[in-house]
Amino acid sequence: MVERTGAADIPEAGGMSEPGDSPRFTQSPDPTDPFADPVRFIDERTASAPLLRTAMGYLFPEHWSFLLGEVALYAFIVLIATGTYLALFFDPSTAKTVYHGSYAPLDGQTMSNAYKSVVNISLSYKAGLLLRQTHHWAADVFVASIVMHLMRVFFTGAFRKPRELTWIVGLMLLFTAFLEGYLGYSLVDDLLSGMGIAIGYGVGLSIPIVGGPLMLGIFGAPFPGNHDFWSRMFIMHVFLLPALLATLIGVHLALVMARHHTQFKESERTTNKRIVGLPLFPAQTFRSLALMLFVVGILFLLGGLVQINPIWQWGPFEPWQGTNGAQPDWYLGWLIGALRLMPAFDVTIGHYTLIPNPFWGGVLLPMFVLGVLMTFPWVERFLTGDRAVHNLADRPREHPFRTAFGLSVLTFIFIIFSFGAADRLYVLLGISYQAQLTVFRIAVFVAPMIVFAIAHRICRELQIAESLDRAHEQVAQLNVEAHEMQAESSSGG
Amino acid sequence: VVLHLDARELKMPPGRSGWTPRGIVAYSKICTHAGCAVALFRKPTFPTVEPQEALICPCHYSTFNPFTGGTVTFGPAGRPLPQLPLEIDAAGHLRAAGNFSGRVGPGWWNVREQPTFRKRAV
Repeated sequence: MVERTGAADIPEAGGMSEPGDSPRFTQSPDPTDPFADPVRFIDERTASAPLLRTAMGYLFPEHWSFLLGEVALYAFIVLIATGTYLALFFDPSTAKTVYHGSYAPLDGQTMSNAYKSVVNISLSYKAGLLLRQTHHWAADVFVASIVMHLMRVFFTGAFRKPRELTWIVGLMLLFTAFLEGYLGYSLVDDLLSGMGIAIGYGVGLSIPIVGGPLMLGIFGAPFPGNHDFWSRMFIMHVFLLPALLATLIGVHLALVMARHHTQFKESERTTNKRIVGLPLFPAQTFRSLALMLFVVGILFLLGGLVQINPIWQWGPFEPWQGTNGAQPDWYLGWLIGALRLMPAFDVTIGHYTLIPNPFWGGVLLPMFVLGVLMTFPWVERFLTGDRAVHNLADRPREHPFRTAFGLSVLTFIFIIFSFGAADRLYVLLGISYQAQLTVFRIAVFVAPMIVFAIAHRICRELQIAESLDRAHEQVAQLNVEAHEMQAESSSGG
Repeated sequence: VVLHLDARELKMPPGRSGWTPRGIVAYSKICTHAGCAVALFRKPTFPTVEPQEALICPCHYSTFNPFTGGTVTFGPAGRPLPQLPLEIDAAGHLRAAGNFSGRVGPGWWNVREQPTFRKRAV
């Protein structure tokens, strides 16, 4: 007969009583009294000591660039906290109402309950504007710090074996954050965000075959949809996507801890198999707490002092209204830029449209960029044949191809992003939109190639300069030794 | 969107000659590119680069010519703005004389540029 059950001893505690522990823990007056020895009390009930001991000993790299991901983490905490406050007052309803609130210019206007509640949060409720603006700033900083963190990881090759899964989870986080941010400012139902939803609907509709049914399913009815759509957006923004983000953050951090950070070879002590850094407790804990207070402080300063998205000025949205100079939040600027930059090109057969234009800029471009980033660890492995485990972070110059490729992709996206603001550039610089379109359409292909060539060259030059420096040092060292030998032999003779 | 244009400058596509009584034209205001409102009306201030009045969508600057049946003159839109045929009835009221010349709103898989209406008219 096959034994299906297993047997094991139940540990009395997680490890506080192991031999070799300090007497402080083993000689407590009364191990059942939570106040006399709280550490032991908790350990006996959670068996958490080994886990905590490992965690507290986790070594963090010292370099500042490893804190960018933590900035994102703390921005996320601010988002949860401020978002919870906003959700207490927000009304996700598209039912129409007439505004008679404290803001006179909107008095008597018909608007949705959603928009009205955000105007009231901004202008009538205590600390409402501070928390709404802090929420908005935190979202912008959240995505910005993820992008910075991604650049650090990319340019130092930290995505390589054994950290490919961490890289993929991080990319999922970034693209979920795009969607979460978009839904967040769209919920307000002001004129600006309403245009954004219209575009989102148009882009979704453009997906071949499934676009129409998919958008009808999400919106409940042709644009602007029915009340179900607002309920769906709301539950996505305040529950499903935050839960997904929190889960992805948890998995991301667990993977980081499991395979450890990479680190720069800052001294001879650091090798591919040996970590040198600050332990989680006490060193990194206080460094990180200070960073958290700094991030929270900066975000609240921004929220209190720097106006962002003054929705009472935009007015309520109606599908037949639009305004000039509309711009999304920064992290979607590359998508509006792509929609504007793309030539008028629909795939058609006779009078039937197969693939409408918004598909190229709104769906294909982000999918393409995501695909390139997701597969890059394997593409690089294929190109270099390097299958080794890498725990040391490269300096960007050490991999000219990767650095040049990354910079050219960034240039490509930055040029598309910039064209998203071409109407603003016209107001600023006086160069006509049409002329800019021509220049940007050429630059979007030429500039990345130029950047690639220059970056590749600079990396090579830096490498050569360094090896020359090392050679000079060796020669100088040899000269010194030769002089010493000469001096010895002359004094001896 | 309803515009009153100079009737002498209208160059409507074939089959739409009776759609613009006294130079009054009507188009769908929903952009055929991504569905924003075509909310801008460009009144030329410098004819060298802005030869004629135009309807413009502020989202991605698709530009439509109201004199030629809403054809795309600039920007990413792939289809003209659907036009609504107009007539002035015996009592002098402006009325729609039929359905739009094409599907209103942004494109999707299988959207047709011209519905059967126009084919009958031709």
